[in-house]
Amino acid sequence: MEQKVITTDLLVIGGGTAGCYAAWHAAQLDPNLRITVVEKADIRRSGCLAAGVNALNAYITKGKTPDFYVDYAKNDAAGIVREDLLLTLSQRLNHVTAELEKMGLVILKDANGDYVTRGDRNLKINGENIKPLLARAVRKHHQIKVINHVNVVDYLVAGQQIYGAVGFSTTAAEAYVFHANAVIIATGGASGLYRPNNPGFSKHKMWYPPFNTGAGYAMGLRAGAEMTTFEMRFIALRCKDTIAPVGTIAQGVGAKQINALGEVYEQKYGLRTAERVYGTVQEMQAGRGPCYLQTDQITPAQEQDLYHAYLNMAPAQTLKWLEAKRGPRQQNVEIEGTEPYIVGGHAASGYWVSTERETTIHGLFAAGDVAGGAPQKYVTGALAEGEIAAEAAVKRLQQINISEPPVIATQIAVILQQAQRYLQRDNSIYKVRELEEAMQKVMDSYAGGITTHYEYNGQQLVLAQQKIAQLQQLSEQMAANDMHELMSLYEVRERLLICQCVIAHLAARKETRWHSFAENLDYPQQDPRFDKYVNSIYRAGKIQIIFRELVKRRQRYEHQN
Amino acid sequence: MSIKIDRDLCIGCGRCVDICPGNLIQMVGEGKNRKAEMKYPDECWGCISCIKVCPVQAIKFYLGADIGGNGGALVAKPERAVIHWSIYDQDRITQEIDIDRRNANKY
Ligand SMILES: Cc1cc2nc3c(=O)[nH]c(=O)nc-3n(C[C@H](O)[C@H](O)[C@H](O)COP(=O)(O)OP(=O)(O)OC[C@H]3O[C@@H](n4cnc5c(N)ncnc54)[C@H](O)[C@@H]3O)c2cc1C
Repeated sequence: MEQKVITTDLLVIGGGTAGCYAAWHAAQLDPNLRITVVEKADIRRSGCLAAGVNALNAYITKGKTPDFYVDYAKNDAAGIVREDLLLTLSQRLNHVTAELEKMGLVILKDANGDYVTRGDRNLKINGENIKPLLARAVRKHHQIKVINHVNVVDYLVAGQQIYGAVGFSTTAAEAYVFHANAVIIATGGASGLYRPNNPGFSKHKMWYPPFNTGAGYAMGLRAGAEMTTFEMRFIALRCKDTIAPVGTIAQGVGAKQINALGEVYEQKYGLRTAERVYGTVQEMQAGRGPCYLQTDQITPAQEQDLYHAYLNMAPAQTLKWLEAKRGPRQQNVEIEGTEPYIVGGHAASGYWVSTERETTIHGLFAAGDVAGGAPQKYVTGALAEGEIAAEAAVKRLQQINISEPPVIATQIAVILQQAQRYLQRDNSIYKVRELEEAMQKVMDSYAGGITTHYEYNGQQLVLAQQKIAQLQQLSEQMAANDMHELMSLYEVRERLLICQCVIAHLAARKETRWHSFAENLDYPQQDPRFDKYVNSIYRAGKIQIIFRELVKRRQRYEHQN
Repeated sequence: MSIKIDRDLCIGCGRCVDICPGNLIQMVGEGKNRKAEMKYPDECWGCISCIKVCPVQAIKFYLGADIGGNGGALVAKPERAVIHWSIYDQDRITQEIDIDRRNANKY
């Protein structure tokens, strides 16, 4: 395999929302900085924003304050948030929105030129081309080198200090070794851990991008970084089959959630994000399914507007309506909960970071869905965190001057040899996708998947842990025929480690604080003794749990070591 | 959830191969017969980035039968100011929708 060596000042891993913006911002902070963005796909259409998004979900609207946003997110997560992180990102939401508009994003305005808001926190946009716009802004800076189609698999870390990362081309027989003194990880969250809604041909018709496989989490775990709140899974309430967003219908045309009897049930279970999912599950279990968004009373004009809105972000839904020749006026929109995801932009799971977004590994910063503690950050929150991380990384680069210890060369050799072994082996009994399916089945059956209505108990978690451990052993014998398969192999390896971490976290939070997101049948009530973070570190093959006290809103949190 | 690439229309430019966020499309064949091929149809997310980037509208998007697909398909042709969408029933266009790219969603 050919080896490409790239030396840069700042390495950004994952050219998605947060990564692109971080690179762009860093370039503006220091015109002499050499910045490299390494992306598994192509930054023009990679990650969450590929199909387009519907709205900017996080904005401080007129008369509201950043504290209002923090209060909202804190309440929605029943208190388990990092208020310092939420506050610092909320303070930047409107500024990054203005930057997005300068890049070319269309945002709806009224006759006075003020943004039109949707509810208390959202702006209406044309989000179809949001990713190409971000990518174009990045490409305008010649000091940013973009490397597409390279899947990063491991960090280079010694003595809790980052020195770079290693990745592999997804097409050619090429290994990439990156040397950098500061790294921003922005690989997004993890999908595909649990058996999905459509496990057959349309298995990747899921809400979260199936290509965000949690590489950032897994690399961090392997390097000994501390993680937080992996037990707060995110389950989305979505249109059945197409898994398209429901907010557009619910908030756009004011459609209510109703059961098969036509009763509005959402008030019964509460309006927190988790409770909306839980309510739907409860109605189904009580025999009152399917559940719907009631759209049969909307006007023809509203129906047309919905067709347009979905084409701009989830075209499958418009196709579904039109090819059936039954639009939302003829037929209420059936809804369902998705499989659970680990995603720090909606829930609070991810890296345990300082207020400056530094992880517990020196020189490694995290932004967007990969970073923990700050749920409900969405697009603008990811941008804000990209900005904060970029500022901290640039500051660090200006202050330090370190040289790479010799052990890094050994690490590189080990990673490359391992890849060679995967590629040369031809006698593996199990295919990569067979192990993936097995993993998803274990998580579904024993760790609170769709099949068990997101519920689990301690005994099931013990079984889940054992079965995932067995799959991890089998995964060491996997083989890859080409570079694409090598990528798939690493993806499964990543997901298995994340599953291990999720199970340990679910077992550690002995309460039910969030219905459905973490529904522990042994402990069905919320318990004030768990007004703390469940954190973890991976050591010698085991997940060690650490409980930490809640961080205050105006505290500047720094790591102790 | 997946796409179909029309071999006869495909000009082999490779843009869809580059853009796919899952690296699922590959170039196959030599010379004039070098065409894009959907290698992993069951791994498609349905983002339709490939359809938007195709200069000759050789790619169609359809819903798998397991999620209620009914034989229809969707094609998008982005122009500077509008995206021109066509809904197909087999090979026949049944509906066209133009979306002005300068307008925000109403919802
Ligand atoms: C379908 C969908 C719709 C949404 N709609 C809205 C909305 O309407 N409004 C809103 O405000 N928010 C919305 N969100 C949320 C928002 O889009 C995300 O929270 C945000 O974009 C996350 O940014 P990120 O940078 O963390 O992740 P991403 O933008 O996904 O970036 C991660 C990047 O890392 C790359 N990557 C992954 N692994 C590797 C690796 N090993 N090596 C190299 N690169 C790698 C990926 O390819 C990707 O480009 C939506 C999310 C989804 C999934």
